[in-house]
Amino acid sequence: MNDGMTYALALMGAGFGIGLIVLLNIAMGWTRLRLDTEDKARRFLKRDVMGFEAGDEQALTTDRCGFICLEAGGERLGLVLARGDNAVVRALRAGDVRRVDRQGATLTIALYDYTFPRVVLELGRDGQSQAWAERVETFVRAPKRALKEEARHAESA
Amino acid sequence: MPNLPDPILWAIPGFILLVIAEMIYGRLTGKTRFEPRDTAASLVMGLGNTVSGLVLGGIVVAWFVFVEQFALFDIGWAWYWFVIAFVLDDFVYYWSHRWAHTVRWWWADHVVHHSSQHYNLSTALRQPWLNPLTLKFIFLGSWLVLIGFPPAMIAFVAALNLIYQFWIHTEAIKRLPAPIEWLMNTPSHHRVHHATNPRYLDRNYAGVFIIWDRLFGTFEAETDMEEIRYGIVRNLGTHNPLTICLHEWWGILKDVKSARSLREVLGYWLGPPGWSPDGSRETSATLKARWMEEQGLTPPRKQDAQPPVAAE
Repeated sequence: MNDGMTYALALMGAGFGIGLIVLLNIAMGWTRLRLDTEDKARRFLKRDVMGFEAGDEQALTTDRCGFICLEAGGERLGLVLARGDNAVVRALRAGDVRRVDRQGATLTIALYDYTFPRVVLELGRDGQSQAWAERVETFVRAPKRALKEEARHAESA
Repeated sequence: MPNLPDPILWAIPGFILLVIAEMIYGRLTGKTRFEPRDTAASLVMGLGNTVSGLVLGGIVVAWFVFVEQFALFDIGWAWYWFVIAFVLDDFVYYWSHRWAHTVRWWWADHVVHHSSQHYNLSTALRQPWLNPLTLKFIFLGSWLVLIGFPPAMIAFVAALNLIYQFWIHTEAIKRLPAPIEWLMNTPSHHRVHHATNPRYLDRNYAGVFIIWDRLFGTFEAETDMEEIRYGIVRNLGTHNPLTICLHEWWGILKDVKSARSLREVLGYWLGPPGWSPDGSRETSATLKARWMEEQGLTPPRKQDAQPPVAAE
C-alpha cells in the first residue's frame, strides 16, 4: 500500500473515531443552557463584560436562548446567546452593527464580527421587535460605499 | 543516531481512551463538562493539526537541518543529554508560550487552543493548523539546535513535553500533593492559564515545570473563591473549525488594512492582542488594571510590572 493510501485510511479512521466520541457525548447527554429569566441573562453579561450594567430595556427570546438589552445609560447594546451549555455575549457600541432586519416578531442583526456575524432573535410580539429594531438601528454603521456616496452628495450640495 | 519513535503517535490511543474515560467520569460525578459540538470542534482541530504537521512540517525540518551546520557543540546521544534537553526545551517552551500570548501574530495561532469555553481533555487536542507559518520555530526553536542538540532529540523531548500537557487539561483533578504543585505544572495551575477571569489573565505559561512561572513572576495560584470562566475574552459565536482556525488572522488583516501609519501596522501585527492606536480596545493589561481598580487593589509597582500582556 502506498503512503497516500495509508494516510487516506488513517484520516478516515480518525474521522470515524471522532464521530464515535461525539456520538458517545450525545448519548451520555448534556444540559442545554436556557436563559430562563432576565436576571440569569444579565448575570452572563455582568460576568463576561466588565462594568456592563444592563438597563431596564431588555427582552428575552421566546425560546429562552437569546437576550437583548440596552446598557444603563444606553451607550452599549448587550447580547447574550445560549450556545450549547454555555453563553456567548457581546457588548456592542455604535457602529458595530452592519444591518438590522425585522420580519414580524423576528429580529435579525448582522454584525461586523467575523466570529459572530448574525444574530436571530425571536421576540414574541411584533410591537416588541419593532421597538428593538429601532433601538438597534442606532448602532448601525453604514457600509463604506454609502458613506462615500453621502460625502459626495454633501460636497456637490 | 538512534532510531527514535514518535511518542505522540504512540500516545494517541491513550488520548482517545482518556477522553472517553473523562466523559464517563463527568457524567457520573458532574465534575467535568462536555458538549458535543465543542468536543467535535476540538477533535477536528486536533486532527487538522496532525495533517498540517505532515504538510507543513517539512518547513521546520528544513530549517533545523540548515541551522544544525552552525551548531557550537556536537552533543551526543547519551541518556543524560535527553534529560538536559527535556529541561531546556521546557524553558524554551515557557518563553515561546509567553510570547504566543503577548505578540498578536503568534496569538493568532495559539488562540485556537484557548477558544473552547470548556476545559476537558478534548480541549488539549484543540490545536492550530498553521503553526509553522508563524515562523516561531525560527526565533524560538533554533536555540537548542545552535547549542548542538540533535534536532531528532529535540523533536523527541518536545513530543514528551506535549504528551505531559495533555492530562493537565481537566477539571476532574483538583489539587495534587504540595511538592508536586510546587514543582510541576498541574491541572490546577493550567486551569488558571485557560481562565478569562481578570485575576488569572496571562498567567502560568509553563509546559511541564511550573518553576519557570515562579522564577519569572507569572505564577498565579488557583483560588476556590472564584469560579473559573474558560475561553477567550470575546468568545466565538461558532464551532466552525475554519473560523476557529482563521478568525484572529482575519482580524489582523482587517486591522492592518485600516492602519494609517507603519506604527499602526506594527502595533496591530506585533503588539499585544487587543492593542489599538487610540487604546479603545482592551488588552489583558488594561482589563487587569480595571479589575484591580474595581476591587480596590493596588496596581503593581512600575518596577514589578510585567511586559505588555495579552487578552486571553
